[in-house]
Amino acid sequence: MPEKVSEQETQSLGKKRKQQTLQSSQSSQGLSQRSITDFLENSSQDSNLPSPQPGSPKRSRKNSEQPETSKNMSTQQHWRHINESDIIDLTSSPPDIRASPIPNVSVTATKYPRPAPFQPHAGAPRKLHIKNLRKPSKVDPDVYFNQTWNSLEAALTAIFESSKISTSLEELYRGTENICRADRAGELYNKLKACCDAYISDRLKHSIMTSGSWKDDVVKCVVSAWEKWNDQLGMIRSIFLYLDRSYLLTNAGPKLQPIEPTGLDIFRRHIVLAKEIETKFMNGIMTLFERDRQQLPINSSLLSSAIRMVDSLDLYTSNFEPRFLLMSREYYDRLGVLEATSNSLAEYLDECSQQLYKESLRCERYHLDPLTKRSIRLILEETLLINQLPILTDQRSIEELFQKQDHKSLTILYGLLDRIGEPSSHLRSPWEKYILEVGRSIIEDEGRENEMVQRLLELKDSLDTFVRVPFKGDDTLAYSLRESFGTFLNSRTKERSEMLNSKPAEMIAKYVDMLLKGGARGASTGTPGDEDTRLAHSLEQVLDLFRFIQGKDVFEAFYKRDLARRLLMDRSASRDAERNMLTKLKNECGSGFTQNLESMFKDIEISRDAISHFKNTRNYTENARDIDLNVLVLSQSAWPTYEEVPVIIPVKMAQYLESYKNVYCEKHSGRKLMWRHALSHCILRARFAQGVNRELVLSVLQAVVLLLFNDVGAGAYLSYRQIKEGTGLDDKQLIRTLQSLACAKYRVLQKKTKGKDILPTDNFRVNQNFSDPKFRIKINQIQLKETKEEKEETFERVAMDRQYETQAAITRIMKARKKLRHNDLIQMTIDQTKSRGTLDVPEIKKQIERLIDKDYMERLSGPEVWYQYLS
Amino acid sequence: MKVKIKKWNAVASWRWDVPEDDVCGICRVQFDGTCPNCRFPGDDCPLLVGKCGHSFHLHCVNDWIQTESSRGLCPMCRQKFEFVAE
Ligand SMILES: [Zn+2]
Ligand SMILES: [Zn+2]
Ligand SMILES: [Zn+2]
Repeated sequence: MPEKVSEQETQSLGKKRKQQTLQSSQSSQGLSQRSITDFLENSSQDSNLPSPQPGSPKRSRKNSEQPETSKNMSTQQHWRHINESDIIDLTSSPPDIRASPIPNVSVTATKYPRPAPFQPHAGAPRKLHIKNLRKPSKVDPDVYFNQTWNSLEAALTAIFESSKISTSLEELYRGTENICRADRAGELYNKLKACCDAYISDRLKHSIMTSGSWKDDVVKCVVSAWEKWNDQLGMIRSIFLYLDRSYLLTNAGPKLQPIEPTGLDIFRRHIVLAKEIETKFMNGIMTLFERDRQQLPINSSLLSSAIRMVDSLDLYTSNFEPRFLLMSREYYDRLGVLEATSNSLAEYLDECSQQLYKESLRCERYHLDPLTKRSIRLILEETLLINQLPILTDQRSIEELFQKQDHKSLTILYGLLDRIGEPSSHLRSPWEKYILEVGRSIIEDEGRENEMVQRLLELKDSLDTFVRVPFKGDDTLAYSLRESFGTFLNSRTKERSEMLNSKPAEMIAKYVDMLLKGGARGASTGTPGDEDTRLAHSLEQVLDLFRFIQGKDVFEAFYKRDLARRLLMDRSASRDAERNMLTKLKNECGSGFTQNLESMFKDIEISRDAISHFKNTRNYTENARDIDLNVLVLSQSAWPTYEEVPVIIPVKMAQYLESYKNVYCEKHSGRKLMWRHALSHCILRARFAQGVNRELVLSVLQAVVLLLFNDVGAGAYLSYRQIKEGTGLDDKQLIRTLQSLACAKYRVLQKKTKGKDILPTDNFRVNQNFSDPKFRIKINQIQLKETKEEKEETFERVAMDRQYETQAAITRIMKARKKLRHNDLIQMTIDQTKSRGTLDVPEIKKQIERLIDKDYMERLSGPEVWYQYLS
Repeated sequence: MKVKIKKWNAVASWRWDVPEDDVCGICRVQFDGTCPNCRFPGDDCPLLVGKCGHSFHLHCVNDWIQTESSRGLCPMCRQKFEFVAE
């Protein structure tokens, strides 16, 4: 029965720790302690007590609490033994000493001490059958009590002095048992308690305060004394086990406690709570914590033991924790102020995260209560984060983290702010400011205009990464990103205040053009996959930018021009990619925009059919078949408008084209076909001096100039005027063409006088020394880059389209509403035209005036401006 | 140096052989463009020239002729609408 009962005492976390302490101390005490335990265990076979209840982590739990059941059980068992037969089990409870005063083994043992020590592991419970040995010798109970107590007291003294106990432990145990059976347990308990009390309050306390390390290591002194006392208490309990089990446990109350809590209580009162010790001891623990926080070396096992002790003595919540929290708050208050003001934000963030992490580890390591751990966390959050919030959320410093792409610090910052509130409420403003600043610096950097889109893509990617990684996909910040990105991309410029800044739209169109011309290799290196996959990926990326653009009309105008150029020059890298892009644009801008573009593709296909049809007719076979002819017929309305350039084509070529025209018009009645020589290009085979053969890829305008030199002798000059007559080109076109042939990278022609400019007085001849390692040389002057005029023209058309669309929108609105207030009309017009490119209010007013002039609507007189629709 | 044409990539544009800026008398759209129901100018949406000299999108005039009120007359000159056979 015995061991199980003691397990029932373990009701709390603190108590569990206490038992560990006791058990560990048993081993140090050695043989005698163990032997008693074994001895007792051997007798406990019939115990079937209820299993211990699960411990609750509440520290304030009282030691003396006992479940009701255990009391009943012990009583029952006690009586069962008493009713047993004449077989005397030495190891179990004997019958009441007064009922049958048998000369007991233990009694004789006090008189004749055994020579040999008690043998442990003596096998099964030894049962000694005593027959006919009863010599009823009357022993006076008082005498017996005093005798036994003397032995017990001697044993206690030996335990206190750590010397050998002269009486066998078995005898001492039996003596205790007999006293208890004689109903003098209370008396025995009081004597035991007084004895321990005297020892602790006097000897032990004295030895603590006079020990060598008292001055500098109070914690160590107290903890060592505690450990020693624990061992001693374990021994005492073994000896007085019967007292503990049969009396103290069953009669436990406020004044009567089992041996162990009694011992702890004595230690608590006389040592730990002694006024000479308590403050010093607690301060000592605090110092250990502080040193640990300062990363100074400490005896951490001592600190662990101290905490365990405080816990076992039920002083954790009352004496330790409040002091610990107070001291921690002061410590981190100081630290927060110091670190926050003397470091950069990045350093402070690192410090905070380290402190939070280390403090949490510290709480684990010293087994502090989960509630303490929580309080400590709150203290750190308050002192390091909340109190330092102005520094932690300093806008300039956070912007700096963005600029430095300091993901690590931002991750920490987000995590810290997340502990104390909504991180986006602090991060949003610097985040948006950063996006706007960087974004604007990119779109306003005229010097690096050509890199604009690439830089915007990189920016977008980096911003997305910020949201994804440090901000853990925060919805508010992701939304901010899109808002701010759209804001800077659509900001108005100073020069063209009537329009949105159209640069991004224009540059995005150019970038798409570059990609579709096969420039993807440079655009998205590092993306896996074949060329088509990479191209598709790059297009998808740039479309992401495109979605932010409000003035889609500018993009559309440039896209159309660029597509036309790609188709005319046969510069598309991939038909699939073109189609793919068309589908995407259709989704983004609607079919209204792509209709013309689809028309352009359709023209290419029809032209291909038409040329193969032509090559099957007699008109083709009659002509010079050594010239490979291809004709692209455009439906005028679908394509951008191009300037008409009159030029004289060599007779033979002109006839060839004429025969195509006849076939075409025969097939498509009612149509007129006009040549667009300025958009045409050709390949000439050229034979230079010393038999050097080259192929020249030229515009038709360049070709007609070069063809003139076939009719003059080698090295002979043609004057500017002669060339002008021979080609029929106007000055503007001729100067451009001659510049491209005589002053550019490849100089097929030589100008007689040096200089970059072409003058009407210049003379030209073939450059006899022309050479180049490449066989096919592209001198094509149909610019791959558009001219300034073309660009201006595109912008002007966009502006005109906008005015037209604005008028259409105003008319639509007025037709539906009939009568509207000025401000409402303006707002509704803005709403309707936003996706295409919004006009300024003054510009909308201008369009209203025009519609009034055209009698579509009228202004009504009155205090407020109203408009009336006129049908 | 002598040069010889090897390949010629000509570009041309077509328009209906009607006076420039002429619009379809029915839908008022330039002939370069399509009738309201079509997307692509050209073969997909051809012109029809009446014997009276008035031209229309084929689709436009078809719709017109099929209405009761047209009585088979040209909407411009109210003569019987007949077209020039191809
Ligand atoms: Zn029509
Ligand atoms: Zn049609
Ligand atoms: Zn007519």
